[in-house]
Amino acid sequence: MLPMKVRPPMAVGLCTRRKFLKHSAGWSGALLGHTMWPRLAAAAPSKVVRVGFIAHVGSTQTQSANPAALEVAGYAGLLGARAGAEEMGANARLLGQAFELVVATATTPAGSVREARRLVAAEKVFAIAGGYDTEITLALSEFAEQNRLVFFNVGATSDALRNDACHRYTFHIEASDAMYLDAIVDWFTRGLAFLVDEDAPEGVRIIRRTPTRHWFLVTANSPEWQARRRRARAALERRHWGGRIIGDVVVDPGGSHVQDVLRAIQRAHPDLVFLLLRPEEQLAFMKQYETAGLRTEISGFPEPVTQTRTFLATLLGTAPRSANESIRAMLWDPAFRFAGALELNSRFATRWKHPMDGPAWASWCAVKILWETALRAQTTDPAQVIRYLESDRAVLDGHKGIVLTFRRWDHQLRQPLEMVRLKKSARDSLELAEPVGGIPNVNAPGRDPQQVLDQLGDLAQDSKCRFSVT
Amino acid sequence: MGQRRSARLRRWARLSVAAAVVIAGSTLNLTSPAPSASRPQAYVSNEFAGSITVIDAATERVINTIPIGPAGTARPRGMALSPDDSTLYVAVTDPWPNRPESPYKFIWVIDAVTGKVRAKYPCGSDPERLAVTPDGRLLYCSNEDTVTATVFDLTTGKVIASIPVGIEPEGVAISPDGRWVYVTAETSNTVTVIDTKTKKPVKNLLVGERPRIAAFALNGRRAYVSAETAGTLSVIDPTRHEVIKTIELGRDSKPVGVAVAPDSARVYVVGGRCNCLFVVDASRAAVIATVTQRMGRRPWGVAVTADGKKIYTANGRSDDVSVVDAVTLRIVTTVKAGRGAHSVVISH
Repeated sequence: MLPMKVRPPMAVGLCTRRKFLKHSAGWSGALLGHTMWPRLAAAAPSKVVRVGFIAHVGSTQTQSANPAALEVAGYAGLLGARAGAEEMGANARLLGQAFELVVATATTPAGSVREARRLVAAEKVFAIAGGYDTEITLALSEFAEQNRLVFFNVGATSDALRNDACHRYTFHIEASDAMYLDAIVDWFTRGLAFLVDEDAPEGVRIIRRTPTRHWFLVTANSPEWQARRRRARAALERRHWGGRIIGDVVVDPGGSHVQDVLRAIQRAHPDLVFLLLRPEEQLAFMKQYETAGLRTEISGFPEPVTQTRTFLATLLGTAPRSANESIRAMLWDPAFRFAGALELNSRFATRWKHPMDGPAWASWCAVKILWETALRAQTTDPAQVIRYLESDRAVLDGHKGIVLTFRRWDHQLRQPLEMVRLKKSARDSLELAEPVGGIPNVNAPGRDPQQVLDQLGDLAQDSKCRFSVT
Repeated sequence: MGQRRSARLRRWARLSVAAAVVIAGSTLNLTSPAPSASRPQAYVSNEFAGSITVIDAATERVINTIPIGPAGTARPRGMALSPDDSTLYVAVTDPWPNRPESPYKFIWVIDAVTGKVRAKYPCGSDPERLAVTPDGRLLYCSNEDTVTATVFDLTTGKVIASIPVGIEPEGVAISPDGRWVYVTAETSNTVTVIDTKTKKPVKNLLVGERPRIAAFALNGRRAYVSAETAGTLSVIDPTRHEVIKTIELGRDSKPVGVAVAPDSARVYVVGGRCNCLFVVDASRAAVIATVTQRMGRRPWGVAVTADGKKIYTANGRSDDVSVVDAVTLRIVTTVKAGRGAHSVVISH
């Protein structure tokens, strides 16, 4: 078993960072407020609603040079949170209210909890969003529970956080392992997909492919990845009949036996090689896969980092033949065009000179939901906020073409996921991936949106989540 | 024999009117529009075909298809007729929101009788929907990619105001007395109330999630706003600019288009996901019927004939128009339109 990586604490002094963040947030808010969304003369805010965001980036708040680093997702998430803050701040002003986002940075569990404590004590935030790996998210989730604070997880997919380690004050904007795996398995085993593409000649693009029946799993040697492997197996064998695992190997990162794995894949003749590996391990494996000249279709688990254009560009550069045309699952993609997605992606790209990757959407959506909850529920009292979010009154719009709601049993946001196909011939970063269909199909008429979206992930009877706080 | 003769007479009458308009058109300027068509016509914007389908509202036959631009590139969406029905205004966009230099992103001015494009008016960035004041002098449009509504003076051909509204503005409606303009905003979940005297916003109302279309009752006593994600219809008192009731249409309905019957007694709302037409009793503010049988797919646009007898829905995924009898609430016919039928307006 490999030890989890422990990152060093931040070297920059808190005082300096605070000043920097305070000033940068103030400038961006002032610029936006006076140039894009002028205030109504009659509107005078009665109370400021404050939300905290813990960004998984260094103190300089810049993009990481390592395309597989968690900070790449963290940086996209930071931009998404700022975009959410600007838009919700403008919305609040329209209604004579005020909304502010207070940003902190941290890249360790201890640092994240320290910043969360400060945001509550000094900045009086009623909720916090953040979390980009399981340990940090768990630490923030426990802190939120102990301090009766609403916490939105925007970047950790682990099923454990939604089951044994669930907490009532925590809500998950990021999709779960189970949701991603169900969507991926559904896509590949069906062998037929259609994309509502209003630019296509008939309005819909039919994407035919040979059903992917025979899977070869390559899994990292850690408890978390082994749990994903078990869930992938369950998705294939229990939920989506017709899929069969014909190869199942566990690898150590950088291990010398990768050549053995490649030979095993050649012998097995699978339809698909599916990598349950960390982002940096996916890149390393893909490089060797490309060099070995294997032709079997290959895909990987969509950790939030791997959903960024930064990672996808590196993947296509590392393994241009193997990655080209490969299918990957996304929480959100900057090339989406449906249900206001085109406008949102366009606004974001124009404002931030950065594509709205999955992690950016997650934090934008978290900020949006937190503001709209305070507005609609007319309270920032955490207990009442929780009751509202658990109720049928909470109608959430994430520009995904269907009403979003939280599952009462584990506080997971119900939402569709999208599949994209990578393109090495892209002229720009936007074209690196093209949408090829959503799972489930949210355009099918006649069914309750909750039932439609509950096709992904674990239902109540399968959940091990038991909230300790009522 | 008699029928054939009357058909000939009708055709002759139409041709005469058209000829007169063509002749007169050379001397017309923007403020003296051509006379209106002799019979009610329904105009359907086909977002992905790049065209307008013109339907004779008496015979339910397609009588013209007006090209706007290449399919998939020129995207006609919101429409409005001038008060005298002589001019059709169409908000056109293209698939590229970040490209301001576009030959399409204008309000296209079309002669309602001949179908000829008379002019293209700039109306701010990326106009999506529009409304014309009752006196026919001003046009208000929503600018989808900014947070503004633009006021265009039809008598001078100039933009005279840009008004801040919510994020991702869409629906535009003008009160029958011309005093107020309501503009919805899909991301802000708001309706901005604009005073047409000052050209300034006076209030913002919170409505359901993803508000789309606003429509006033002709008696001026109510306004209605659909909310696509919430699945609701907000009933607004325009004297106070307050939401007085929210009608639940169902989370699976995705309501978009709203039209009020000429007598203000009924409100018609189309649901894009349920493929249905909701009939709302205005006095009770309650749904009294839902039309689903033979309804086209993804109805987004809806309009009522001036006599209140028929309802037309523009169906974006079946590329057609359902014509509903307002008494029996049955679909009497389906008329083929272009791809991505988006909105429909009907002349008097």
